[in-house]
Amino acid sequence: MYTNQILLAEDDTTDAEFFQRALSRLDSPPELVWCKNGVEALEGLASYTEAASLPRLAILDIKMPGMSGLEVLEKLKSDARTKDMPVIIMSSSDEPQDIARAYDYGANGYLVKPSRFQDLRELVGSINYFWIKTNRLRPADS
Amino acid sequence: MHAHEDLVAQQLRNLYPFKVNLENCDEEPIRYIQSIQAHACLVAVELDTLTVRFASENTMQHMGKSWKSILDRPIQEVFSFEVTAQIPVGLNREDGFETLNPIQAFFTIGSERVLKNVIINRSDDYLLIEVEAASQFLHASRYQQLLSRAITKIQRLREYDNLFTETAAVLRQVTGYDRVMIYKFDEEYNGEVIAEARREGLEPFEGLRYPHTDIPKQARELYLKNRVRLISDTSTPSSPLRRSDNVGDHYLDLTAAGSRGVSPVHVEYLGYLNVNNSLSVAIVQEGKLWGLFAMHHYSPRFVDVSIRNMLLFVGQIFSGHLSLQMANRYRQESLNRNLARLAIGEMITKTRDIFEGLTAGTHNVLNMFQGTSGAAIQFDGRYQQFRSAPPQEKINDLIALVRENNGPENNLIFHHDRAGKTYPDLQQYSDSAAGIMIIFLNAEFTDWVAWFRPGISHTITWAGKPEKEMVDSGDGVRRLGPRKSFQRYVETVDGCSAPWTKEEIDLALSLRITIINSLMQRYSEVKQVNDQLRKALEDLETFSYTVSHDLRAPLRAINGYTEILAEDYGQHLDDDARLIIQKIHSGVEQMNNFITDILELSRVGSGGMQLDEVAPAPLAAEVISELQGVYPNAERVAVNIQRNLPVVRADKRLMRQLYLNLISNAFKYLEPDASGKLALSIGARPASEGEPTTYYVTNTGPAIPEEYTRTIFEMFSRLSSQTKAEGTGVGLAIVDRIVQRHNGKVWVTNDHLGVTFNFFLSPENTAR
Repeated sequence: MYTNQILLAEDDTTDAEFFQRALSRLDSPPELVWCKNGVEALEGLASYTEAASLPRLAILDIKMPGMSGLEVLEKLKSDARTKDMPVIIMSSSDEPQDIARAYDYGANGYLVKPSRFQDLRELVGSINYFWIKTNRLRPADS
Repeated sequence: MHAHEDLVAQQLRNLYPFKVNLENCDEEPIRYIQSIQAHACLVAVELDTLTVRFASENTMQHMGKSWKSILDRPIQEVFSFEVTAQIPVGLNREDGFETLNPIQAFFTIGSERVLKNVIINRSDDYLLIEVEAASQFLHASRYQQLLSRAITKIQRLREYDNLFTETAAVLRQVTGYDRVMIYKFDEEYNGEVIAEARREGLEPFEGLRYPHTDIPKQARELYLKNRVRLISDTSTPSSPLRRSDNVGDHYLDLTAAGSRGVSPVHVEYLGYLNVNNSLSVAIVQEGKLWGLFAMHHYSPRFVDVSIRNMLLFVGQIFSGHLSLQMANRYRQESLNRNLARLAIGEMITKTRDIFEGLTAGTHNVLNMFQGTSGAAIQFDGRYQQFRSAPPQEKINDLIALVRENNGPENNLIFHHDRAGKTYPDLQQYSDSAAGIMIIFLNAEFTDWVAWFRPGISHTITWAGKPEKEMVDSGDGVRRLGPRKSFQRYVETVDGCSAPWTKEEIDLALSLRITIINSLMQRYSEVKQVNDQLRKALEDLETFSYTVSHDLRAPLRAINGYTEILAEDYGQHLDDDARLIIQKIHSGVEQMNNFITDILELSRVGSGGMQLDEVAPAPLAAEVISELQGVYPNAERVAVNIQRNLPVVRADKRLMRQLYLNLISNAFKYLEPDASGKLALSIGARPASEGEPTTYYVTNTGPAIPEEYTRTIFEMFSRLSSQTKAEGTGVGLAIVDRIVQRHNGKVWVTNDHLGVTFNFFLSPENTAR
């Protein structure tokens, strides 16, 4: 049974709220698990006993207090249990070096936070379509 | 025998124990002359055996014994106990016989017992014993009185210049010579009479110059060893020195003997001067012959050895006094000079500029040295001349030449008072720059300070033409004769400046240190400021990066909530509320653009540059097609891109940004020209003398007022807030930054289509 969960690690309450709002406008939206920082995200993911029950996708903000999104990403990709969970890095930065670094750490995608809510809604829609509805890459699915 | 055998040549051959080169006075071995002046006789005793081995022919006259009778006799048989008793004493004393001389002893000459002065000196393995007259009239008290009078007078003198005239007068009083001269040598040992005292009716010699050949090198060397030289009577021939057959090839070195015979050439010379008698006292300064007390008498005159010793003493006092006065004068002058030097150093530190520092103060490059006609500074690629100077390239040519010829002294300084003679290229500048002194501030000789001195027609009054004559010595050999004519001979030397004195050279050298120290201080300050700036810039870039991103979050919040408001509650809002929402949006949009531009600016400033050959035309075309979608009026603008725009060396990304900003700036401010036409043109002007290829972007539109042509490149500067054109005011600041990073220049002109932005890049030119 698929959980249809998206984990979002985001310290900015507003950004998280927008994400939630954008998500909620979809037909049959996935469930959003919101963690306020990197440490909370890792703890949250540790509570999933089976790899198959992990969220379908983790979206990590880069700049977070305590542990950055990239550090969380690194930990997830080096843990056999979580390494196959798709991770998208989300940031307000469109600096080429930031983007390159995220992919170096093993990110499956990089999103620049749109400045318009409308754009965010479209983005969230496409994420949902690709990663939740059509993505069949996870080993648990095979 | 030749019909007219030259007497002097004959004498020269006879007087020396070996063959003498007659053509060169400098080679006459005068210390080996085998003759003794008539006023004394000389007996040389071999130290090993204390036996007489040499004797002058005139011993009979002075000692009452013939030379033949005393050769090879033990010393006790020849001299009385008064003399022989002193020999072991003198041999065991550190200063030898100096303080024992003269030994007074009686000799039986004919039937008379005569008091004589015996002077003993050691010469290698021999004792040179001279016997000469002792003046009966010279009592100890009289002699001491004369001496103390002379010394007191000299010591009382306070003024340097008076020292000479006064000393000459005192010496004449003491010795009674017809003429007493203070004779000073220059660097080449030409002598000049700097002061004299003379008998009435004699022609003045003061100011006359004597060429160095008048007192040849070996004679000068003898003066250092035996400082008093009496030539008592040139009219009486010298007495030949005879030697025992037992000495083999040994020739006596007569350096120490005061009565040493006179070179026939010198006798000839004195003859031309009509001088019968000369007495000279060497003045030695720091081991070098400074000059002479030169005394002439026109009739025979014998000077007692006690007086000669006294003169020697007076000479030493004089020399000491001279040192003291020179030191005082030097100290005073160097104090003044050092003050000037320190003031310049301070000025350099203060102004942080060598050009300013050397010229702005009361003490400056032009008044540092007396009589300079001008100065020039070449430093760090900059060149400036002050008052008059030869062309820069001529000076640099000179430096190159100097470097080829073993380089300047210690690689620090070059000086010449007749540069045109050695470096003919500079001849034509002799009027203002005959003398040149250059201090070098770097190892490459590209940074220097130079001073120039005008050429002066320098007249030297020689006492006769300063050339010796070749005399036919009769057997086909020519010998160098002394100068015959002492008619005043005025020589004019052109293209020669006043000399750079040792003090001036020392000053230039210490100024060099001062400049370098001050510059180093400046450099370290600049470096510190640079480091701080770099750090500040880095901080600023980090800051703007961070801030820009952080600023975006609240903007997203404002934007997002307003959108949600409009979407979810749109039906509850009236038109006014919706308009307000729109205004919020456009405010946020503008803020976003600001942030994007500031981020862009911080990016332009940081990061490495990758230089490539960039073709500007395709870049510009790409930018234009991109911007045509953004600016609504772009479609109506006649755009022209010059064909074959020359490639430029630049970072391609930055170059693109440069065109993007310039062209979007043009689109923003485009206005129709008089004929109503909207146009934009991109082109370049080919490089011309001194100016690199200049690229430009021009558009129709109002001219930019002169006062804004520079400020528009500053951050957040916009010509007018009333203008309808949108923009953040950062775009041109970015342009300026990009151009600066390429060591180029950007400026605005009101030509071509209306307003033109011109720029050139020269990324390889780091000096800019």
